[in-house]
Amino acid sequence: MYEKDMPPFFMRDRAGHWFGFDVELAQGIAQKLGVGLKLETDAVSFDEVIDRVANRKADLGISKLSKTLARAARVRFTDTYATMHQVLVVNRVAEARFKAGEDPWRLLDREGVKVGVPIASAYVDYARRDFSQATMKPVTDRYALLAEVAKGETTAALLPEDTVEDWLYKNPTGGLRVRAVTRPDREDAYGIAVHGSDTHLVSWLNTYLELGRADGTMDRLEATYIRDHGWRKRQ
Amino acid sequence: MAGENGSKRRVTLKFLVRPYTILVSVVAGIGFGCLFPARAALLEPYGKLYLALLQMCVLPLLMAAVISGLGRLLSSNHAGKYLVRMVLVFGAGVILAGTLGVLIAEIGDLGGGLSMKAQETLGKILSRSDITSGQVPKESVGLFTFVRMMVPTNPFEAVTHGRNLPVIFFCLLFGVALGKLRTHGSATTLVVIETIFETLLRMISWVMYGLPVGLFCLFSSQVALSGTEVFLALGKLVAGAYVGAMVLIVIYILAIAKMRRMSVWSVIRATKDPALVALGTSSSFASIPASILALQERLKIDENLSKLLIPIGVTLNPQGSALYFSIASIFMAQLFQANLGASGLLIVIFGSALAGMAISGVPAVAALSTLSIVLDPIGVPSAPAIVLLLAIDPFLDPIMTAVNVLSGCAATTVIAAKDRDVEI
Repeated sequence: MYEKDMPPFFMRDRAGHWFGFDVELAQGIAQKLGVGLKLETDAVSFDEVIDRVANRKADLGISKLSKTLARAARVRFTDTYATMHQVLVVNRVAEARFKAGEDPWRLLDREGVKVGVPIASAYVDYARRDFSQATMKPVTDRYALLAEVAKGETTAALLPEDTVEDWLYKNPTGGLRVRAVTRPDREDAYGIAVHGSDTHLVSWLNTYLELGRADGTMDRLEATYIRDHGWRKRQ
Repeated sequence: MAGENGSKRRVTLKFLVRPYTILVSVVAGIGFGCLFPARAALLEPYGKLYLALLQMCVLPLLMAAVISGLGRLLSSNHAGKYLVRMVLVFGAGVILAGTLGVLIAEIGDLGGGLSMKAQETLGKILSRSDITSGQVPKESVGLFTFVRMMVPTNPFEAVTHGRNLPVIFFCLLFGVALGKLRTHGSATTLVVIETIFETLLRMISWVMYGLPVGLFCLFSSQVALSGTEVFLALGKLVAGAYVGAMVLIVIYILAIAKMRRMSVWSVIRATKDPALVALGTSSSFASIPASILALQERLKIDENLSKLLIPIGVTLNPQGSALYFSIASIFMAQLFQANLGASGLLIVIFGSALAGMAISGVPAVAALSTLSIVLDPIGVPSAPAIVLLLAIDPFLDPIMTAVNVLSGCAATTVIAAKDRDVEI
């Protein structure tokens, strides 16, 4: 897993214990497989999680991993177990200087515009696709990036909706400075990463996910961590 | 006995429209809304019913007033003089109001230095709005769009849909044509239209007896439904707007007192009815009948001038709207930390005047969208500004409507000032 808290998928409670959607998913899988669970939470980027699975330093990658073609060339992904959306976060005053009424997703695809993205993540690929003319600014700290957009030091940032929601929850004044624009057709599908030769394991995991949807296990996870925000009391 | 009963009924009816009665009903309504919000919210349909009763006669009265007033004016020899005065007084008035708004907002630094709690409240409101709408800002209303909106392709369709701006435009042209005709038929037509006007005034005077109850229902339900959280977050803006409104109202009262050589208290008594209807209904158009009556009967302004200038003034002399837009624009520029130079301030002043004219009689959501006329050129995000201002609109709309209405009374008094003995 990636080393930093990524609510609501994996984060630490006040006692330092990991919990969240991905953590409970991993616990359920381990229980059904009849094995113990060891969380390795020191990957410095999401791409490093993929590297560890590809190099057999980890059995599974359950770390809100976005399914991209580049990653699929290195590991096998299960069926999608959660879908978020890509969100373009724009500084409101910077946006107002452009022509009113224009979609910022189109508006910001021009020279001179800086779009921040998390380094070594799928969002670098997403940004290259939608903002080919803008200047990419890869960053390690997503929340610091959002603070820069709020101050107007960076025009915009492309991030997952759960990251943006969490930042706005923790920084309510941020809503004054930035506008979050979601595009329904820009989904971010998460899958479990497995080594390329573990075809049987992928098949088993897909069956687990399918049965989990049928018996309500996956729905319960979504209700607990995505639709409801009661988990915040544990942080 | 019959005489005694009739006398008692007249006393009761007069009591219902006394200023103290109205004031008590307003204060009681606000108090009821604060203390018993759930029950007060139930009064909303009754308040809206009373508003509908008031508005029922407004459009036909507006048409009759503009046509007969302009028709009589143009059939006299004084038309050109009044039209020039009208343009000068209305123009100067909205620019004065816009300038005052800029001064108040700049000197008071209304949008700067908000408390963290206020910023958090506003931030949450905007974030919720971004999530629920997910829409890009609508295209701003330009000058050409405003002019295009004034011309009806079908005047009957404009009347049916209550689009006041094109109705006024059509009636202006109709009144000009009727006044210029100068035939026996046109004179008879003018008399018929004036009779319709007086009939409608009589109907509205009956509805005015229900004002205390109507205001109680309107104020209590508005306070109950609006809540106070965002009001507190935008408190400086609300306070600045009220200060500006009070300054303008004092100017109007003093101007009327000087022009009509009356005491200040007499002017207040004379204009209380249109002011209270404006405060209670937040509708300049609903206040037209009360304004015309006040000017004719209490300020002794020529009947045809008041019938003509009050409806036109609602559209072309919206000093309350100009004040509100200028204060709100500077507030938003300060809130979003957008620096305005001298050119930006001028855009705010003139843009507010223009935007104010564009929104006469239009519902709050559409009216506030016109703020983009002012905000877009100065680089201030208009969509979030509209979201925030919508939240406090129930607190500011009444007082700004009162300013619009009283500015119309004052402007008409100034335009008619030197012709106290001239009959049109």
